[in-house]
Amino acid sequence: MSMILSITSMTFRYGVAGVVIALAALLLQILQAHFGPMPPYITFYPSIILITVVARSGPGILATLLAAIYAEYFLLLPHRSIMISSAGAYISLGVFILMGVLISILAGAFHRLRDHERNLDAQALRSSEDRFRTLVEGVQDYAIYMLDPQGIVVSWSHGAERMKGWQEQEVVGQNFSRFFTPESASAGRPGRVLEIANAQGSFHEEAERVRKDGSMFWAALTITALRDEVGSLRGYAVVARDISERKQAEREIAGGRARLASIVDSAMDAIITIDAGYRIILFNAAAVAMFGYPVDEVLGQPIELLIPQRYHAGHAEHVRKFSVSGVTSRELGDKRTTLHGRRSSGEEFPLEASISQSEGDYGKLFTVILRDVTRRKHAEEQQSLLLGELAHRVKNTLAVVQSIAGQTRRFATPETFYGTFTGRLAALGDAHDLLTRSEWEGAALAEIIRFGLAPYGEPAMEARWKISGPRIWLAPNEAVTLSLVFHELTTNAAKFGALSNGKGKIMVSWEVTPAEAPETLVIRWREHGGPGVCLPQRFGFGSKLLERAVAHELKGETILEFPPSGFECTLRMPLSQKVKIQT
Amino acid sequence: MNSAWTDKKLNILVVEDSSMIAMLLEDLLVDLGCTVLGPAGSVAQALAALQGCEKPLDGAFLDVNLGSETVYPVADALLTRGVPFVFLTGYAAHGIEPRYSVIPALKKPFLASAIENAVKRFSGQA
Repeated sequence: MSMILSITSMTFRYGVAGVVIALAALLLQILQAHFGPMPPYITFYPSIILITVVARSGPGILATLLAAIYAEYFLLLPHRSIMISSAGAYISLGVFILMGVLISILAGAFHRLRDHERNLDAQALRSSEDRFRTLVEGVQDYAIYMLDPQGIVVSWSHGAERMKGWQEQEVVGQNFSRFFTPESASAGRPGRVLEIANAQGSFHEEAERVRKDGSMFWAALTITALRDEVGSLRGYAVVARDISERKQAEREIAGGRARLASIVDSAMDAIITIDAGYRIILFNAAAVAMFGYPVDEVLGQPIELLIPQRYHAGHAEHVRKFSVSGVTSRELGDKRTTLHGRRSSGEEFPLEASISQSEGDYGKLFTVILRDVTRRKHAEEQQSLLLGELAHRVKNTLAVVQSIAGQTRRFATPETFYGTFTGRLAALGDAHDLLTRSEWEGAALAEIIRFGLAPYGEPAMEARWKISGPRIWLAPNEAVTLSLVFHELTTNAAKFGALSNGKGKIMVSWEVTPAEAPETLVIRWREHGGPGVCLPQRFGFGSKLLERAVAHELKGETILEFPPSGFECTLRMPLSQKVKIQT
Repeated sequence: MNSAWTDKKLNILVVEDSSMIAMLLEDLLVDLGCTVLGPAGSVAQALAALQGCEKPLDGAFLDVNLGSETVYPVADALLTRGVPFVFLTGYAAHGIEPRYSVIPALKKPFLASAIENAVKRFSGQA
């Protein structure tokens, strides 16, 4: 192709030489016709110069020879002959030919020189372009493409192809708005970013873009406006980088942070982070509830705000020691000491804490997890109090048993001791049952009497006793004493009195007097229908209990009577906090 | 029980809110040849008994826990008068206020011999 072109071009160049010389000869003829004889070479010199400039040396020499032949044959005398009449004519023809050849050779040299320079320039340009193209095409991780001022794609790199999926021929000539998500494209975003780039020189953004297959990816883009020397807009260069992985990592970190934040804020324990200067930089919801400070009031405050004054020095020292210990986390305090916090109200409260340390962006961070143990400490104190109380009661009860054993021994024979003693222990046990029901607050008199009679309270026997009276409440010691009293009375009735013969009856009644302003409780135990009453020779523990215990504990008095109808016992005691009308 | 170790009838105060235990103490003390002041079941009763007592008091048995109150006011009154006494308690030793740590405490239930030793101490024989 280029060979044909060069031959054609060569033929054309020599043709031009012939044509120009013919025209010059014609022009000479016309000039001579109008103005008379002329110097024979007047039109040929300029023609040869013209030809050498346009068509180089070869055609110039040809033109010189053609002009010389024409001049010798038609212009030099004799006309139309190869003969030349004068020596002057020979010389002028020779000079013409010499001049023409010289001009042609000089022009040829000039042309070659110029061509060489052009070649050098072209080579330099070509290698520079090649390097640039290699650079652009070689950058695989960046999409590099150019847009015209309207946003039409005019060039497209391999990197762009790799990143976005379109081939060069698919995308060149298309508007770059197709790279935008449908929403941002329809919102006019593509035009807007070019406007900004045009106005500010360049535009940078991180945004979602679309691939050929419709999938989305995150891109960091820089759009630079391209201007020519006079400043008019020629187009835009776009450099884009796929940052999907970075965005994914960022999302994961953000998600992790959000998860952590929600865990921290929903934790039941207070979580507080302090920086290396012991200033609070994190304070969760439980901490707000525990200490009573709103978050914005404590952030940036020293941790001492939350610690009672007397622990300040010790606390700073503990944290410092922990900091240099190399341990990442441990419990604060020890088993023997209780840590204390201070609420915004100034109230102190016991707490348990663990501490951990980590390296943050700006130095060491300490995170403390705190649990308010006020309730647990209270429960523990309550428990220890209860245990002490229980020990006291058990020991007291053992002492009562000891007393019962001693009293029983005084009045019983070896044969009767065991039965009598265990009967009394049973009565004591019944009294404890009654008291346990009320959590050792006390017991009702009616219940105590009913329990006292209980061993003889089978249905057949129930008709044989009757109890009646207002509701009276007795404190624990008083209840125990009266339980034992009624046990003794019942036992006596079963041995010697109304319950000993199968038909006697017992009536227990009580009242408070005087009726309008009760001061005294009077309990009457009356037996009927038993065997004939005789004065007992040996009343034993029962009477001792009645006389002494009732006198001592109930501050009352006992009257024992033995009328023929049956045994009667009257107990009188003042009403008090320990013996009172139950409301 | 004999009272050969003392010629004098010791006058002993008993403060105990449980009448059964008071009765036991009373019996033990009477057997040891003592006269018993009380038994008192409360601080008020005990202080009243102290006030009304004509004979010099030789010693006292004080139950620490009197139900709704503690016996310490009686202890203080006895300390003021220079009357020796021992505590009776169902608690372990630490149940007594530290300022009375020099006062002997008998734990319930108690041995008759412990009561006897205490009485001997009151009489200055031990």
